[in-house]
Amino acid sequence: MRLLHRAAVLPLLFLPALAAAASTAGREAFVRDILWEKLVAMPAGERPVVGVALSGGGARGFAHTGVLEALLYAGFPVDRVSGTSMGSVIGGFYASGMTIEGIWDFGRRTSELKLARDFGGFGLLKLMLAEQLISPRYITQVIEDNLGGREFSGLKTPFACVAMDFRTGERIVFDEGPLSIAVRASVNLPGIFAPVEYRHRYLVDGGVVDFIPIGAARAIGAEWVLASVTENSVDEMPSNVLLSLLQVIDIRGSILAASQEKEADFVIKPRAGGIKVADFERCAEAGELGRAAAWESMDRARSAYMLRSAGALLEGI
Amino acid sequence: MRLCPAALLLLLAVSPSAAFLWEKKPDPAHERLMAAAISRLDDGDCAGAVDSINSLLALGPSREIKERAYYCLGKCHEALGSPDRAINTYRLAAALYQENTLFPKALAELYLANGFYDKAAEIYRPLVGKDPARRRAPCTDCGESRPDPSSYQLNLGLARSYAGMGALASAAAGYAAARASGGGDPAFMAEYARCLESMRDFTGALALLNEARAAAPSDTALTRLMARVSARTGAYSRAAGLAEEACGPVCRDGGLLFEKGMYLLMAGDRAGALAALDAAAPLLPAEDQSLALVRGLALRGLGRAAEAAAELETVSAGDSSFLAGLARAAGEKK
Repeated sequence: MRLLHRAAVLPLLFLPALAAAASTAGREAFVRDILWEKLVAMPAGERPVVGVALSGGGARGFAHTGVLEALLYAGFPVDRVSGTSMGSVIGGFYASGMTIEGIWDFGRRTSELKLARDFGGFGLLKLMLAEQLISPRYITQVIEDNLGGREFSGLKTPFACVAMDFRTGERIVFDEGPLSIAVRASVNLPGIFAPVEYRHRYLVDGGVVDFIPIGAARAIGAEWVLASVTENSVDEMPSNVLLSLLQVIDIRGSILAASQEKEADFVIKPRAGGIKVADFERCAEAGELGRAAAWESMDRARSAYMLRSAGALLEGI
Repeated sequence: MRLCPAALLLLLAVSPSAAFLWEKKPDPAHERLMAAAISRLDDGDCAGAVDSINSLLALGPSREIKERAYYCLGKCHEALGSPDRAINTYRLAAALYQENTLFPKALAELYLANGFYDKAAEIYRPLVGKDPARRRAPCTDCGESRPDPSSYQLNLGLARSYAGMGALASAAAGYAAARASGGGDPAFMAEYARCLESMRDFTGALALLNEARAAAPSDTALTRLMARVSARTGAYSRAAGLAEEACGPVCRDGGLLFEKGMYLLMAGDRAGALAALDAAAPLLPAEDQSLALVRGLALRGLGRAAEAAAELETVSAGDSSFLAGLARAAGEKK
């Protein structure tokens, strides 16, 4: 094994205080830290409005929780949130005011919540033998328990999520009305789960047409968008029809991601590609990978946002 | 690099030789080879020590000697700058001698030093145990318990691993446990405070630094860190005052003077900032871009447009995209 020297983050935290500004890099980090506080103390509007776009990715999408946690620690303003598929679940939770610890708790309890069962058992048998699409009971239950009865207009953070009209292929952005059915539609895998009937449309997972909902974030007012993207890198042959279909959807999402991420102002890519769409018992692991990736790139993300805000930031200095 | 023979002696002491009574007795010749390897290691001849140990291992020594040999071999590889080999050695030894915690400790330290924080945390977690703060060594003299230094090292290692992973809440808990296990010197307190600062718990960091400064009032590093955390709360004048205090009457620390200049600039005292920055300039590398940017901003604020433009243009053409971007924005903003 060739050992890579990855000790890039640790020194930032463990530099003795005396050495903090003793190097060129240290002084640059110092300038960034001091100016950063001025920037984040400004209300949105005086500085560019920050949107966080959370991609699809099934269980892998839980990595967004770690990304949101790292943003929180950095004091990164999160003024708008958008999500597709699992990104809409995590984004919906966050926008509704659920704490990061609460979202982590959801990730740790996915086995208990039986989410993976929506992809197997009797439902799968019906799908295979009677060609009847699955009604995802457990995912629906989780969404209803946490987001049921809420409206987009009452959310703590403005939020939008994306689904697709199964008949027309249109990308549908939800940013008003009841929340839970919109999130449920956004996380509704086509060809496996029965389409959600809502507003005279048959809706399925938005990941097929808009894997990273950057446009949706901009549509609700974001001027600077950070995208959290959980692409597929699973390198194995699926063992059954259902897994094959999931893999095709996932690959399609990753292809879309490659072209869409260019629209973002900053991209964080958790190295969670080895976690499969239905690996719900690995949600916490995905979250940790998300946190690590965001932590590693946080200084660059802060710099990028500060440069975009430089006009406002330097006002009065 | 010279290695501490005490570590090897410690290994000898913790080796549960009684458990291996059925093993063959250490051969005096093997003992001599082992001693020779340690001696070469102490003399800084790590490559020679590796050769000696490999020759020794080929002779099939007793389990006890082999255990010491693996530890010594790992240390040699570390000293030779071959962390891959050291890791492989420690991993093998940790599997062979599961009762000996020196191997996983060495492995975790190595992972930590090389940025494999998740792997380090994985090893530290079981070593620390479920309730690390309560893991204390018995104090037979006083009938109470006293901090266990090994527990301190483990908790600190775990805290650093979590911090490297960005798991700052867990890192803070690890630092708290390390403190309960005896951590308290100024360097430790500064590190702990920086962890809290990273998670924007500025109040917690300041409380910790206040406590640390009370215990070590002459430690300027703590005062300097306190200045920085104060500035992050927006208390720029207080930060400048603390930087001044850390500087002392005759300051020869360019970095500290630069920080003081930045605080004064943020506090609106541009003339004061410029004075501090001018004092910092001869002590910092020529064409330091951070210094030039902050100096340019101070000059701009003072209405000395031509001088400001000259400073900012230097930064704009520099190799830091972040500082250059700010300088360009400042240059455009009249």
